[in-house]
Parts: sequence; C-alpha cells; structure tokens
Amino acid sequence: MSGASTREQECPTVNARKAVGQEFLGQQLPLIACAIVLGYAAGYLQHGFFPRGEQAFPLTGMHVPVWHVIWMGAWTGYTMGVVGEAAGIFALPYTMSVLQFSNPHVTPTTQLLTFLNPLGALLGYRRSGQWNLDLALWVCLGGIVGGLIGPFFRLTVLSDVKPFQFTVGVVLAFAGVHLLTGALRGFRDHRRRWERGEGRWEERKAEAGFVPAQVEVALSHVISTISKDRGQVTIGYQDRRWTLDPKVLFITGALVGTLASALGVGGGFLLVPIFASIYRLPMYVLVAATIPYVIVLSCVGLCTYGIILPAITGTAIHPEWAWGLFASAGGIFGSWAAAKTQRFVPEHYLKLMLGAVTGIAGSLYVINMFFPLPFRL
Amino acid sequence: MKKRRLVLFARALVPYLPFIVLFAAVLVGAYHISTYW
Repeated sequence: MSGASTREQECPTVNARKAVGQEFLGQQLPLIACAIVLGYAAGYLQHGFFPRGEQAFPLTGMHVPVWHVIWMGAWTGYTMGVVGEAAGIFALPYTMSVLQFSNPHVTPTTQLLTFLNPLGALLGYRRSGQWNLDLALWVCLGGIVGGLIGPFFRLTVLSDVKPFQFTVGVVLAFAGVHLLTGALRGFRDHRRRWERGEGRWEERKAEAGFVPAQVEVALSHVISTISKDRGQVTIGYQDRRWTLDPKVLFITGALVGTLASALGVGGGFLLVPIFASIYRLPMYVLVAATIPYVIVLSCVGLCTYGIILPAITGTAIHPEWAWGLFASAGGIFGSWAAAKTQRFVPEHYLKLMLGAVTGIAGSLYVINMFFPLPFRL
Repeated sequence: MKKRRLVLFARALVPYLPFIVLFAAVLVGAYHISTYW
C-alpha cells in the first residue's frame, strides 16, 4: 500500500520529467541537429570543404574548432536566457576578444545568430498568447528601416576595429548597468518581501516547483488590442492597459535597429529597457514586440549586408554561415535549458555577476580606444 | 537508491548551474586564449 501511494505521489514529478524529456527529444533535438547539419552544408557550399580541425572558418582568419562555437552558443544562450537578455550582446565580445574573430565579417555572422535563436521562442510565445501584431507592427517597421541603414555605418564609420570596439564597449557598459540595476532592484524587492513575511512562502513555492510571483505566466490570457484610433494604439493584458504612439514606436525601432544592425546584435538589449522603463510594459507583454522585432531586424540586416550593400557600394560583408549555424545550434539548446531552469536560479545573483562582467568588458573596450591596454582585446 | 541519489544531487545543482556554466566558459576561454597568446 505504502509503495502504491509513493508511486502515486511521485507520478506528477515523473510525468513532468517525461514531458521535459519528450519536449527535448521531439522539438529541440531535431532543431539542433538540423542547425548542425546545415552548418556543415553551409561550410561546404561557401568554402568548398566541410568545417573541421584547423580549417573550420576561413572568413574569421582564426583557428576555432567547431565544438567551441557550439559551446559558445550554448553557454551565452543559457546564461543570458536565464536573466532574460538576448545572447547576442554577450556572444559578440566573446567572439571578438576570446575567439579573436573581429574583422567586419563578425557583424553579419552574429546577426545570423540573433536571427535564428529567437525563432523557437517566437513559436512558444505565440502558443502561450504572448502575441499582438498591433504592438509589434510599428516597432518592426522601424526595425526594417534601421536594418537597411545600420550596415552602411558598419562599412564606413565603424569599419576599423577600434571605433567598432568602442561602440560595442559603450553598448556593453549600458547592458551591464541595466543588469546591475535589475539585480539591485531584485535584492531590494526580495528584502521587502522578507520583511513582510512573504519571503519564506515564495521560497517554499519555488522549491515545490511553483512559478515565482515575479515570473508572469498566464496561459489562459492573451494580449489584446483594445482600440486603434486617433493615431494611438491601446493594448490590454488582464486588467491593465497601455496606450502607445505608433510614430514613437517606429522611430524607436529605427534608431535601435540602426545601432543594432551596425554592431550585429538583435537590439533587444536596448528595446527591453525602453519598453520596461518608459512604457512600463511587463516582460510578459513586451516580448510580444521585442521577439518579432529582433527576428525582423536581423533578417533585414542580413539581406542588407549580403545583397543591398554590394549592389550599392560594390562591397559585400558576408557572414561565416557555418559559424552562425553552429552557434545557433548551441543557442537553441541554451535558451531552452534557460527556460526550463530559470525559476530555480537565484536570478539577482546571476544578474549581479553578469552585469559586472559585461560592464567591465565594456569599460575595457572604451578605455582601449583612448589608452591602449597592455593586452590584446 | 543510487539513481535516486543522483537525481537528488542533480536537482540540488540546478540553482548553481549558470554559475557552473560561467566558470566552465572562463576555463574554456582561457584555454583557447593560451593557444595563441
């Protein structure tokens, strides 16, 4: 009897583990395998040989084994996914400074990563109702404009390594400050909950596998459009409303997109703080705009680097396709693992660490522009 | 019993996983830098 009741008590946990396993084997593993196979195929089509050993990625000018690129995609996708940031802003400095891939081809290559990584998340968010075309439309249109302009800056103003590194450094410093302020806010909120006596209950809920209060999951609610008149769009989620100006969304998308496509990142590192601080949109709602935006911007950026730029200037900056696909394979796994483990991770400590690392890396890039450092960046 | 202990150990590691992954990334990155430094 006790054995039977133990089995019944364990059933929910066993079923949950089976569901995670089935989800990985049925959904994620085929995507990862597909990306890896496409990576080898792309390497052969682009360079005439399969990426291997010392000759994996000719456009980088460096010797980087395939496993290291997949590992980079996995750990950047995982760590940044846990704190709700995109992997691109972390993958770019690692690629430039550790893997020493810092010529202009790095920009469309990381843009390929930011294009492929969020595709799985987009489908997941659509399934859970985090989808609203009216919220995403104008910022995506701005992203299209930004994706058309940014690559020209990369070819001209940011063509040299130092100005490019300096710009990346400024962006990294901003991302680092954003992570640090998020961490400090989290510590403050946690302390307040403890003082109100809610702390232990939240921790017990987390241990029992319940979603923490700060993670908004509402499977039965959608983000709806309340009205579209007088040049304003009002969206609603549960009992909350937000009114947005399409013109402002467009301009925001264009400016962020210009900078992001010039660097080769997705733009989420700027767009998320803007939506969160100015419009006060919660994370659950703003991903309905930022995820489509990153995909649209990255796609347009890639097309601009590969087709429009050479048509107008005669100079093409092609991505290292195999590199981008291998990194995406790792990123798919990393972001999936982040989604599964995020609620068990002490997010504030991780944000503190990542914010410090990102901020220090950004500061070094900025300093190196004016005072050459004694080591290679 | 051994399997259950392993599962419990793995579950206890989950909150520390990002830090373990970051540490591993630092080690791998340092190794790669040492190959061309």
